[in-house]
Amino acid sequence: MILVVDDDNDRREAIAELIKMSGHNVQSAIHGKDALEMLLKTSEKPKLILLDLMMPVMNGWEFMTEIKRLPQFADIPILVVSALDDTKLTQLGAKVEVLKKPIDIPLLLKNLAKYEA
Amino acid sequence: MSIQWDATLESRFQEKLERESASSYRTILLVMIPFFALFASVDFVLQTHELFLKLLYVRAAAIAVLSTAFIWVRRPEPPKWIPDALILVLAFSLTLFAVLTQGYESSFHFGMSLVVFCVSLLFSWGPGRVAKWVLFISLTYLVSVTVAAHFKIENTVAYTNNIAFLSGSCLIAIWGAWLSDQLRRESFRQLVELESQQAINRQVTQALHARDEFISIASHELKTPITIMQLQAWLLKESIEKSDSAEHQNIVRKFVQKNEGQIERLLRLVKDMLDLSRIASGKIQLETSEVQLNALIDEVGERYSAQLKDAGMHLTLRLAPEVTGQWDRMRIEQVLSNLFANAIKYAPQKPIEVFTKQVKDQIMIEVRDHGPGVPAEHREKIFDRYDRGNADLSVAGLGLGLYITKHIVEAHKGTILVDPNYQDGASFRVSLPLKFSADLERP
Repeated sequence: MILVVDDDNDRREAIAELIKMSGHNVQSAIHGKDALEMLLKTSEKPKLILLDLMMPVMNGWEFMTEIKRLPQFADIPILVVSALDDTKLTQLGAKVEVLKKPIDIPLLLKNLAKYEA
Repeated sequence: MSIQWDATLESRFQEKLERESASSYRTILLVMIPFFALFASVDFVLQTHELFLKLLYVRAAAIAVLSTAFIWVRRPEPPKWIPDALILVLAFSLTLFAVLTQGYESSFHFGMSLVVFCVSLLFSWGPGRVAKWVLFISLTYLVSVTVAAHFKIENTVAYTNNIAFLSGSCLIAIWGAWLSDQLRRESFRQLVELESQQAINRQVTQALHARDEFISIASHELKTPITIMQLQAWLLKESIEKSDSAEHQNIVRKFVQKNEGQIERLLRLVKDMLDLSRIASGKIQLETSEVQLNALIDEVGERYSAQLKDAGMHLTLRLAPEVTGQWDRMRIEQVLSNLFANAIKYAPQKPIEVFTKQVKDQIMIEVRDHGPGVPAEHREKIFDRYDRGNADLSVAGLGLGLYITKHIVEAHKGTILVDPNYQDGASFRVSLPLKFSADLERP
């Protein structure tokens, strides 16, 4: 399962559909807090989290800080989808990969292909 | 944002200048009057010719030193120690030379003129002023001596010297103060100009900064729907290629619809930017017609029903019956849309209420949400161009909605404000006259 965290309804839906088409199960959350709650509720651990940075309630940075505190989820790879410039993205941890907006679809698919369906 | 010259700056400086100027003349008088009074009384007590002259000489030196010190402290520019000291030394040594070679009495006028001339030089350092000073001193001496000679007073030499010297140095001191005052005025004027220039620079920098930020947000905003459309197009292509099963047809149908939504979003952004430039150039045009307000609110509510539902919001309408106004229907619709969109953006999951109330020939429309509200310090600023309240980048938008809204309301001669008394979220209160005069031009 791959978790998509994005506050923009249409974008989240489109990304989710794309992931589904590439053969993965997908779950969606509308912001960081929603995603955390979802993680704690579901039994299935996501293989990958696709994370938007700028979101209301709990943004992507806060989400990453929170998830590091939870040992059972700390090892989930995170793919950040962001339109921010490089300076703000370099502050993210080494384990985090960044996919810049506008989304490079072949690159996203390549990233998804790394994980078993 | 318009660039403004700070009008108070000049008057503030002017006041300060007047105060300093007045105190400068006061001080001159305070120093000179007791000084003259002292020496005048000495004159009357010791009516000895020889002593007079000696005293006059001491007096001259004293006045020169005192006035110099006074003006030195008072003048606006820093003292030039070396040229000033050189002038004084030169003046006194020339006088001393004259006294030693030509005798005391005959060199008195020469020495006096020299000392006073040098003092005046020190007062008003600058080549243009030297000429004025030479002329002034010569004239003062000439007039005083002529007047004394005309009346043929006993002990003429002593009295003439006395009067000439005293009146001359008095005038010189006042003239010196006046000159230093002129210099001060000039430097104040320059200061005012500089300060104003700096204030303008600050405003320009701020305006540029706001514009740059706007461009960055605008490009971000424009990028979002394009990204989504790009994803949707890919999904459509994939769906079409993969199969023609019912499931894929549904996907195609859904994303074609969604794609239209994104195109709408792009159009709205572009329209907002166009409105911005229209407002900036004062070209907002209204096409008035009879508008049924309740029907319009219903219509906007209907249009937002899907978004409200998505955001988990419930809309409550409490409307005054049958309100009809002469407005630009599209623009008032834009006002309502912006307020709805704002509530959805900032207060999702919470109910939203719309009230209308007619007071005489004004209609009050209130849109209330139950979100975080608008902090007091942002209540006016949120209507500024590019201002997004305290929202960070996580809240989408160009920061133009309320700015445009305010201008539309004002073009209808109405007002819009954030109700400061409402504590449970944000409450935007629009007051519109049911009819307004046709003068649509902005001042």
